[in-house]
Amino acid sequence: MADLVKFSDRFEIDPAQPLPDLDSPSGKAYACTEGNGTEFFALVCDPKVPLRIETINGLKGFPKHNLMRVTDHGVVNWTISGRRMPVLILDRPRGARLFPDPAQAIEPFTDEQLARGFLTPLVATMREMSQRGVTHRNIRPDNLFYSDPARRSVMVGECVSGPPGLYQPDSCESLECVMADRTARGEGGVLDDLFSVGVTLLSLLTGRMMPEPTDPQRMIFDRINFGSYACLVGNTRLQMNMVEVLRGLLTDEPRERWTIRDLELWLGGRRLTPKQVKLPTKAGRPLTVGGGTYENVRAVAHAIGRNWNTAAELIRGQDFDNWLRRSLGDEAVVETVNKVTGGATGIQSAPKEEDARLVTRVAIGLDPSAPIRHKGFSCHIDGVGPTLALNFNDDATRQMIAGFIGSRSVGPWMSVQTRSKQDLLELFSKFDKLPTFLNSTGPGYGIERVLYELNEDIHCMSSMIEHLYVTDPEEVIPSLEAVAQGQNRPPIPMDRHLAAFLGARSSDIDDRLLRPLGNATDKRPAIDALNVMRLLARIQALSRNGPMPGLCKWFTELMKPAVNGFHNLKARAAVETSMMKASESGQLGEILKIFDDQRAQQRDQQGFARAQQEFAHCAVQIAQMNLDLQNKDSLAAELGEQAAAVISGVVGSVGTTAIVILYLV
Amino acid sequence: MASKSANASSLKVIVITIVGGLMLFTLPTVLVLGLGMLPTFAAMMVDQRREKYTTLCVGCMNFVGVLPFVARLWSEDHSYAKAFEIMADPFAWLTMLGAAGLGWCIYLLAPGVVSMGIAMRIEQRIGRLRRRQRELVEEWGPGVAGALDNSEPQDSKSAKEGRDS
Repeated sequence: MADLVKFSDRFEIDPAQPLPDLDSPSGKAYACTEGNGTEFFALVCDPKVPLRIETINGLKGFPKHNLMRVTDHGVVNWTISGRRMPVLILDRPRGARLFPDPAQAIEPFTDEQLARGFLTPLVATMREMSQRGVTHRNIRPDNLFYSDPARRSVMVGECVSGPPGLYQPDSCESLECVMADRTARGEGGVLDDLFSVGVTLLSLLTGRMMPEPTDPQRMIFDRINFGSYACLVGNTRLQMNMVEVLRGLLTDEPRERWTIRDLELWLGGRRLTPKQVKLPTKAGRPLTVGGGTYENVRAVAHAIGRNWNTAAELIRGQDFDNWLRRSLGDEAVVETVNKVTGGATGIQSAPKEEDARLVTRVAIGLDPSAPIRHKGFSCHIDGVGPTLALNFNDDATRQMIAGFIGSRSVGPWMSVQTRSKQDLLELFSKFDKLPTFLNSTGPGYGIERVLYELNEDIHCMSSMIEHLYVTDPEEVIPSLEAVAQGQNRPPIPMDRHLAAFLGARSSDIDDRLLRPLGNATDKRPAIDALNVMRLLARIQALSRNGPMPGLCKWFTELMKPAVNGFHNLKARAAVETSMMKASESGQLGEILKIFDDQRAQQRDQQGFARAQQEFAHCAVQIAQMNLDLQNKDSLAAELGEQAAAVISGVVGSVGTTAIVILYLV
Repeated sequence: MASKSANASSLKVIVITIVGGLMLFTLPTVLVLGLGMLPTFAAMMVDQRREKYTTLCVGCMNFVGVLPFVARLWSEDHSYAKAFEIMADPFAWLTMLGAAGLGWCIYLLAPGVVSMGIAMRIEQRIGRLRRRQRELVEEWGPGVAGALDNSEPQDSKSAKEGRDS
């Protein structure tokens, strides 16, 4: 029996009570109770999958509509996995999942059930979400629950345990989203949610879920050519009132698609003649791309995006130009293509090595509302971050994203958007800075920095502290303290991920602190440790989360070469003593002060140089004297004779004087 | 220049004339001095050096040995008889030759003594320098010796090795 896991001082999660019926694709559900006995459930999420924290925050205080609300979220020490895991505390539905088994059909919903039990609460939910500026992007038949045991009302499941649209079947996604890679579908908008509502509605009407197409790309082209409504509804027999709502919701033209207001009016009893599905305009003749023939501009755009390595040749050719300007006969498309490529001159003058970029821009020009396609990567710009986060350890993905950022395709894409949301503008300015980060190779930059810049809420993926699920720079120092006191300490408490994480998350960590981490020219002893300590000392000062003796002790060991760099043994002993004292304080800044005293080091260096000179001078003198010692006899012979002469002279003079005095006086 | 050398040669002539005149009037003294200073003349013959340290050494001591007898000659009776009497006295010879011998002794022993003195002085200075080197090593560590540290004596080297270990 596993112990209850306390969370947020309010909730108790029971690891011994899993709730598999409530599992999400990236999270395991467990029973959870609040102190007062209210039942929730905890979704212990896969740490590799980024949560939609912005959406969680946007949904705070959400009124009790039929949405599985996030009551709380955070990180718990999850004993089962032996690591810290992200956890969501969610409203526990009082009924079961509508589609417990996606392969199994259920009793089809009646019009009444659909209108009262599903659409009415859902529209209220979507209206509230729309006002808050958040999207659900997880509306699908198998993410629906009965909100009451009597099965009168349906609630929509959670939408925050993974990137938007990641777990959506292709059939549930609008064309703009399904054309993007699964991980890069982006936040989308309320219209994309409404499309998903349409597909879900269809599943509830038929009592079965849409089967996943065997050839997803074929399905996309079919949906482009014949419309999603025709492809998804097919020969399903529907009542006229349902045809109206489904045609409204499943139309591929976003401007034609039903809004929340339209749905509200329909629920209120308004009935209109169902709109005919507007199919894309066919060109006068089809265009052959990569062996396939395509008749409309969206299909051509998607095809050249998929055949990017051969499409450049086609784009440069006369055939494409004729097709675009004559066969298609859409001046607006020609104008857009000219805008992003610089016209025929721009296309022809583009260098061969920029073929991929050319193809990307032409695809943007042909279909501005579609995802950006670059070298086989198809993404909405807010889907680039999640793609990188989900597959960061995959070399091909890293290169793909680096190539995408290097292509600088976001600017041209933004320039042809008819509606630009504020958050897209912010993202655009971020993308504008990314190539600079990418081109810097040192720690704190590179693809790791891109990862944290594009995913503002993901945890630090440094191998040292990944298991501790650190999402805030303030948690970094305590985490490193835990690492310092653990068994498997790495050589130095810093790596590319941690540096990039701190650089992206903390405005106080700038180039002055990050650039030295990758400086290979400075050969001073323990300079790497000193630079790391400078960075971490800044973080510790900002975080103010108390003394960290373990980390300080680690740095005292790392700084030993720098201590030994002091030549003067007394100074060295003094530095060692000060370092030990500083280490006991648990403040990295105190240790840093010792090694940041440049003048003391200069004095030591100068003194050492002087001492070396003096030592060498002594050695030279000793050598000279040893030579004198060997030649002392020849020197003594000369001096001895002189001395003998002097002694004799003196004795002679004294003797003579004495004798003269003796005899003559 | 010509006038200077003329002056010097004329001075030489005057001195030789005076000394010659004096020697002519003091022949007994010249006899005692001449015979008593024989070791000096011998040393002069042997001494090859320009500085004539041997001659000076032996001469000074020899003269001190001869002078008492010259003084006796002058004070008792300045005559050939007295001069011969003195020269016949073995004690006089012992004194004169002993004094010359003493001169030789001084001459022969002085270099050895000086050599010892020089060695002592050099060793003292080397000791001082080595002490200073040891102080430098104690203050700055063995790195201060750099590549020059091959002048240290064995004892300090072993002490250093002990510290390092």
